Amino acid sequence: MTYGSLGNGMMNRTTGGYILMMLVCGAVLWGILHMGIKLQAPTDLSGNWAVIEPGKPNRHAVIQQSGVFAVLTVENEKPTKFRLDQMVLSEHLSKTNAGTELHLSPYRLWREAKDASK
Amino acid sequence: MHLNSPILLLLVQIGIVLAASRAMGWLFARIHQPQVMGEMIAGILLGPSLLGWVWPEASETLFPASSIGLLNVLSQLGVILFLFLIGLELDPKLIKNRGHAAVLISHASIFGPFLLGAILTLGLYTQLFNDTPRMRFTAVALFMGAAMSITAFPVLARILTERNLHRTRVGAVAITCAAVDDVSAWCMLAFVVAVANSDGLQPGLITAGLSGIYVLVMFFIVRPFLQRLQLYYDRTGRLNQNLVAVVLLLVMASAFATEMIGIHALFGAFLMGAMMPKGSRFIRDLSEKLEDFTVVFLLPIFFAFTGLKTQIGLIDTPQLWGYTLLIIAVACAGKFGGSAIAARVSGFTWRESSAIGILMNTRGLMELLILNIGRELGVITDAVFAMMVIMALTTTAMTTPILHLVYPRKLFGEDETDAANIVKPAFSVMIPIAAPRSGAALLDLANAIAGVEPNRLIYALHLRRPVDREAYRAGIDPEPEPDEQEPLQPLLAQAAKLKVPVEPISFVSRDVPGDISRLAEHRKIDLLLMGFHHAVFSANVLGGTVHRVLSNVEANVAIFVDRGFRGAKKILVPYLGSTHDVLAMELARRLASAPGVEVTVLHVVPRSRNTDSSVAGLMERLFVEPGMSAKVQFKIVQDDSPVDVVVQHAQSADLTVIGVGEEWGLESHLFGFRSERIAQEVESSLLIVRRHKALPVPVTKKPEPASLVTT
Repeated sequence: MTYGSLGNGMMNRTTGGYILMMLVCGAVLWGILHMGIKLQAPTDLSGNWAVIEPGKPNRHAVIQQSGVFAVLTVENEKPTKFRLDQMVLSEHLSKTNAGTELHLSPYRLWREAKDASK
Repeated sequence: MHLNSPILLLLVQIGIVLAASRAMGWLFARIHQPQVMGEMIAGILLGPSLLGWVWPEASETLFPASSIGLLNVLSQLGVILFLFLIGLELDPKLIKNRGHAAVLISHASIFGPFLLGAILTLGLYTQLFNDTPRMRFTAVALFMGAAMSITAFPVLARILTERNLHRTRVGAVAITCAAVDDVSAWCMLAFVVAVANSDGLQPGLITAGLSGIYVLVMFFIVRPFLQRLQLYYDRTGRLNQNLVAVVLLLVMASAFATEMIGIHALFGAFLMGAMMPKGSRFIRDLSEKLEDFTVVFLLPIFFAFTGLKTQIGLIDTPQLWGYTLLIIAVACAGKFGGSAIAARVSGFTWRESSAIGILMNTRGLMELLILNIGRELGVITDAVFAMMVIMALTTTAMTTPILHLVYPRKLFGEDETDAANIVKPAFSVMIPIAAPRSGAALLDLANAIAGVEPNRLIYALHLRRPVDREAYRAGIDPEPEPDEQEPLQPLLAQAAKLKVPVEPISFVSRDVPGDISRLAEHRKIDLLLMGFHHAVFSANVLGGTVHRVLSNVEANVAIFVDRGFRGAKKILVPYLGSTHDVLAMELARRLASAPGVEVTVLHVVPRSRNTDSSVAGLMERLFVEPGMSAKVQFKIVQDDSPVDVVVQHAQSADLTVIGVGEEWGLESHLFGFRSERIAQEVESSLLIVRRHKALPVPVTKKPEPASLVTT
């Protein structure tokens, strides 16, 4: 068989093969999406935060997060890498209508809720 | 230095970006990588991954966060125009008239990596993605699939053209598949963007409905209007500024529409390009007008912007590097594996199938475009963005070297003939032609040197430097370029007149000296005859490209300096005794086989040395042959300045044939401004010859003594 020179019978078979390939691919993709929809990505902490320190003005902090891998950069300090553990995180994270509070020892971080900030 | 003014800062930024981009592009081209690889790397180097890491103060001064917005706007404009050009160059014939193999391979090269990308997301989702509305699993999986299945059509076409693969069946199938992949990828991406932007079923349906209306408008209203524009162009015969303005307005309107619909501005620009009437002078003129500014000025800004957003430092643990390697492996397995297996099933050999797979695995800047969209949409995190950028660079960089290993040049193209099968002519001369005007004179000289032997052959070689503008056009054009052999035309016309057997060879070359050397070796030529052109960084005849040829070619070489050459009736051969001087004498003997030629062998002897006694014997061996009618004169001159003697004697000669050598002040150097006095001051035309060290000095049989005039 050379490229681009298939007979009619072969073409029909090829067309059938394509339809089958499309169906199989569609089924596999559906399966992947179906399985994946049950997966839970790590809680999103990325973005700007305020570091709350009693008796001092708030400092700016940024969390750069890619899944469980995160880097906290507090103003005028070196970045700190940390890894998110979803189980432990729930103990350190509290969400209210006003915003989110995160305890990342030694820091207490605060972020206003998007609706609240509007 | 403080760059307080935004315009000052922007000018400095653009200056740095352009300089770095061109420099890296040039550097990568030197190491046989696509130029765009260098440009992409330049962008990365200017970002936090290098400049920001080694010299953060400079990075903060040159690219402060507040200035990134302006660069972003310019880069977005650049990619909108670039995608329009990609659509413009898209030839529907490639997609309509493709063979079944191309259909199968293109589909496999999309579905394979798409599914593998989606499967990979199953593994990475809980590790590398965040729980945000934009990073829902469906959007992420579809995006990763689309990003894995992209092929860089322009880069691939460029690689094919540079390797002269574009007219092989492997090249034809690869370029067709890449075109199909391009269209499919942008359609898929539009779908992914719509999915990511939709917050529910209703907005999704609205997006789908508006997209359908948009496509219908493009087909049934815009397309006929564009055909009218072409008619207008045909009538006026030129692309005036009003026409360009109308086209640009349409591009911007289309990009605006798709952005508003929610399927991204780039899709609109691409579709507008694809809608333009194809195969016309109008399109060629339009793309030529837009391409230089877009590719040279705006795209590097996009690369710089991408580089500024790429933080390779985020990949800072073995686990993250492991994920990066996994992404690269999955990308290669999907694209290479899918295409290669489909090609094998379609009847290609394993080697050809592998070549197709490797070519399809080129992602280049198209991947960067998609990744930027994903990042901007919030579908991927910064670390995944950096990993995917590394994947794009790796898969693009690996293409040329692996292709070279798997599918070396000797297996295709015009030099694919097995060296052992080449029938060597009695005497062959290769003449590389750079400027058309030098062709006829070189042919005359080559023909005179080749003599009247019936089995002589002259190879006329024209190596075309890859033209940036041709990057993809040359790759998709199945017909030979009409002007491909144009520089050889004066030579070929002269050859037809003189009935000289000439074999023209012409192809694209990025490494002219290397390719001349390779062809010379392959064709087993007897002499490489080159014209002389002033080198850019050298004042010497034997500098620049000539030096590189002399360093590489494993054959005897002659450099011709034409000073009004009208045939060699009076030939001067200065002689000091080197093997190069012997070659000069051999060539003079060949030239002397024509009737009415006078040869003067000038043996210059420094006062402190004795005469070379072998020269007379050599002359007898060379010049005293039955039937040789040339008048040969032998002069011995004792002088401590051989150069002065040659300059003086050359006044009465038509052609001075001289070997390279320190004594003559003729040595090959890449750079330099040495005084090649003989080359500068000799009034006759000059043939500077060099015998290759591996070639032995031939010993001709001793003839019967004949008359030699000795002065």
